[in-house]
Amino acid sequence: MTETTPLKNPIREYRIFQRRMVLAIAIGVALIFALTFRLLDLQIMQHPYYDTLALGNRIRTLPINPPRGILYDRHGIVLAENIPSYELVINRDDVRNLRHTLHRVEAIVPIRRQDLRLFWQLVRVEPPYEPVPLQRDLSTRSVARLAVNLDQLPGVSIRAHLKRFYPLGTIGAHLLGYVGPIHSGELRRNPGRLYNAESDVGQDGFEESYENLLYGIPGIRTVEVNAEGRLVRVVHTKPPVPGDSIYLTIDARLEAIAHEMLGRNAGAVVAINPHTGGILAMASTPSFDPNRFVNGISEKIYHKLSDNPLRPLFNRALQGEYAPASTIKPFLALAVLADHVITTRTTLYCPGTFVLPGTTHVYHDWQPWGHGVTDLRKALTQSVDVFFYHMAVDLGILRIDAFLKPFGFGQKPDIDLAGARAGVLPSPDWKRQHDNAPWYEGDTVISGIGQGYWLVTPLQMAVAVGTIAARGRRYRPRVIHAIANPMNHRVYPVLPEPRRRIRLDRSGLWRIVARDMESVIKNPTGTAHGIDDGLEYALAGKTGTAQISNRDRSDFINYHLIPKSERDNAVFIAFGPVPHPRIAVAIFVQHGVAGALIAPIARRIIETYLETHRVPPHRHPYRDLDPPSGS
Amino acid sequence: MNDPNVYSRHTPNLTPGLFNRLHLDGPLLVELALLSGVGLIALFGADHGQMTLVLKQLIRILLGFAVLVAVAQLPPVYYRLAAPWLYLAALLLLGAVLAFGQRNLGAQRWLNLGFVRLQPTELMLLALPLMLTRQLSSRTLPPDGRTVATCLLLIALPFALILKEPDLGSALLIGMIGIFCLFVSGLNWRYLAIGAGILLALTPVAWHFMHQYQRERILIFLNPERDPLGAGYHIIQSQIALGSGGLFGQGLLHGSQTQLNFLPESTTDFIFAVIGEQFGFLGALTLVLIFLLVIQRMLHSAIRMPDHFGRLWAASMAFMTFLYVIVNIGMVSGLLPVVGEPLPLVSFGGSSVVTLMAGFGLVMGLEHHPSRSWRT
Repeated sequence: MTETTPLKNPIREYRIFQRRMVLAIAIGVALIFALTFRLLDLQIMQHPYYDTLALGNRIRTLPINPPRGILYDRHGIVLAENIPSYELVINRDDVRNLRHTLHRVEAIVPIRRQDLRLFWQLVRVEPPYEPVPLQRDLSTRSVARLAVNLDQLPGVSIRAHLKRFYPLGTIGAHLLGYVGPIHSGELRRNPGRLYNAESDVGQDGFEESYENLLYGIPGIRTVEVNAEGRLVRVVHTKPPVPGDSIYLTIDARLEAIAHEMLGRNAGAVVAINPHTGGILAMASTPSFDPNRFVNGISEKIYHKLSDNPLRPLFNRALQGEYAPASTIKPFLALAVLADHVITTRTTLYCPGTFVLPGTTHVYHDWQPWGHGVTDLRKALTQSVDVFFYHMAVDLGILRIDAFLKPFGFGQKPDIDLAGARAGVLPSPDWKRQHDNAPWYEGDTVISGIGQGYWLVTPLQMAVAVGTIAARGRRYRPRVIHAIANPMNHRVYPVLPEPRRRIRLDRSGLWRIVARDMESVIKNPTGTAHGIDDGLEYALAGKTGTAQISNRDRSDFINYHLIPKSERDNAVFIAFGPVPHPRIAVAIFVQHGVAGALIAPIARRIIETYLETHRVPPHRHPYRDLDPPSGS
Repeated sequence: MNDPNVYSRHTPNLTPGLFNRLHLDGPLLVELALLSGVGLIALFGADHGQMTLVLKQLIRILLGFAVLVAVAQLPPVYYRLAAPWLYLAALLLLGAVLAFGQRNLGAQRWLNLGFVRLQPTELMLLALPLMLTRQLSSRTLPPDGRTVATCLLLIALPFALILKEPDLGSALLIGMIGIFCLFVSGLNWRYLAIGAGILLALTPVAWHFMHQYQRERILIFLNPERDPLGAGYHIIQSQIALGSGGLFGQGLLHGSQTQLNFLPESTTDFIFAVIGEQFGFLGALTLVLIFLLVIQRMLHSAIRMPDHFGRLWAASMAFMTFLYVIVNIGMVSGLLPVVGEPLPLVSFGGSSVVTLMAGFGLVMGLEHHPSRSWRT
């Protein structure tokens, strides 16, 4: 720069300004170009990319939970259904004064203290746009009272959803199981993203085992949301596919009778169709109300159930393991006949005691004075222990084990329900593995009357009895009868699954044992003769009484005088009608004193079932499922 | 080269029209009205088609135009005389803001006078260039060392006060306008080079003295994905809004980013993204063009000014407008860090409208008042 002159030189000043402005404008133009290029890049070049981002911002996909499949019994009686349940929800966005609104709602329907407490807890944690439930499971009366007042209560609404309902309540609760809110662990596994936080999942029994059929496929609702996540509009809805409805092989009436007749005893009843393996009844008492579990059971009620010494949540039919006692004798009878140990004409003398040769230990008969000269029929009819002590020793434990294994003893039944237990079929191998002790001959003796290490579950016993009834034919035990597709309303039968048949070299042996079991009821000396009166069908049965304390059995005292917890367990097995059996039953009652006392349960179940099947074959709902009886 | 004789260019209109009699500039007024109109439409779109904000803004714009007309009426000599007092008042108000201003989002920028909430920064945006213009035009150009030192002090005082609020964006704006005034007045390149060198050397020091949120803004600018739901949210959402607009835009009241509230501050600082989303690249470009027209008109006035005071004032107003546009659109499109400067006349907000309108009014007044009457 040249030296400044004190005088202002407008032309020079203008020139300076002009030069500098040209420079500034040049920079400005460059910046504007940069800006324009940036806009061009953002809005034209990268438009598809940002368009996708914008779409991702506003579009959410929400699951629609499918309605769960309905459960019916074999005749179409509803065992589990979905009923609408109404809940009162408050949308805080639309409420001006929350406390004021709550007061007005309380004036219309009573709100429980605990619900109110839960409501305020939720208000604190939930985002403000999320509706908060105030009262669940509104009665129809409350719904009606609220509905007429809703227009004066902004922000208050009634939300409906489907709730699982078990109309029979405690009847068949163990078999059906229940649904409950999904656990976070299950949600994390979540195969195929079928579940969400609001899903209900089968938690036990049939509901758990057939979860994949019953659940269905969730639908998808594509919605547009705003920045706060609030729904703006529904873009697209893909409806859910409801779960399959299922017909169970269960007969609800038999189930109800079983529960009724077991009464307050702890016990189990399993009835089975020997020609299909279909379970006709599976009861376990004491029972529980599965409806309590549906909305998530309260801790108090759960503890009450789980702390009960009778264990109402325990499914005795599948998991209860009991000594079969004398009910094992028909199977041993088959074994000795099949293995030619004796014939039907062989007789033994029963003095009331049995001493193993070479030892001094005395094994008693249940009748202290003995039964005298005894053949096989008498031995079964009167349940002669001494006869079977001999048979067991003569057969030897290895042959007993080998013969009884195909009936399913000591093995987990492959029933279509989870949790079935295996029981114990005593054998030297089992004892070595389990107790690490050698097998003694004395163990064989008591195994002959179903005591000692023997343990069977009611289900195992029913399946085994069914095998005798069906003369060795075996089927996979199952509860599923038919699947009803909710979309095309067609019913797909689930066919019986035959298993390897037990073949004896003389097939007449099945009939011999069945006749012997028939005489348990028919013969006046039979242990279950008490149920013979007025019987329209010929039934075969066998009582069992499992000693559970070491009380001297020779005393015949009134069982009412014995404390309940020391009374013997009662077992009864039966099938009928005898020439062509259609149903087999196994009943276990803890502390039921004697098998004869629980025999009426079997009679009533079998009679009721056979009455039902008087229905002409062409009227029968799923007639093609049941092969002609007795074939 | 054009004839440098400015007096010959200034040909007094012997039959002045209405605009001339009111000392107003027709084209600039039309352009400003156009800009305000586009702003109102954008506001209508940003506020989900509601009229509340639009009407409020309309009142402010009308007030702004009234101020413009009023400012243009007073002979510019008074502004020249008032400049030091105005500057002093603005400085005092800035001090008052620091002493007992209202806190808003952690920064003290507002002064509540009971009836009106005043933002003294806006006043300083006028007062500082006016003071500098007076200072620089009363000496011969290029400015000598003493004048430069005085000017730098005049710039540094408000810069420091505004920085303390803290409002880094406005402080930089003030500083840049000040430097611009010096630059176009012929500031020696040597000074410029020294200044730039000092500035560069001070960068780490400045970083050290910055507030955490200011550092965060710069880090976020460098990488918005650092915190996509927190500090980076603004910039990501506004780029999505612009980018999803495409060439033609999604149409008024369409566009999910604005309508579903994904775009924050959609009525104020980020209103340009609303325009970009609803009217696309063409709409955004149109808005930029209107701004360029306003700037062009101001530059046009500058070269017609009779002396350096008018020239410098018109140029600094043009520069201020340009700066606002670059800073705001640069921020919205992710070219510059988020500094929270509005888009003048388009963003919802009162202070900047009135300030800028007053500035434009002075440009018109300087150009259209008979030159001799105000020259001292």
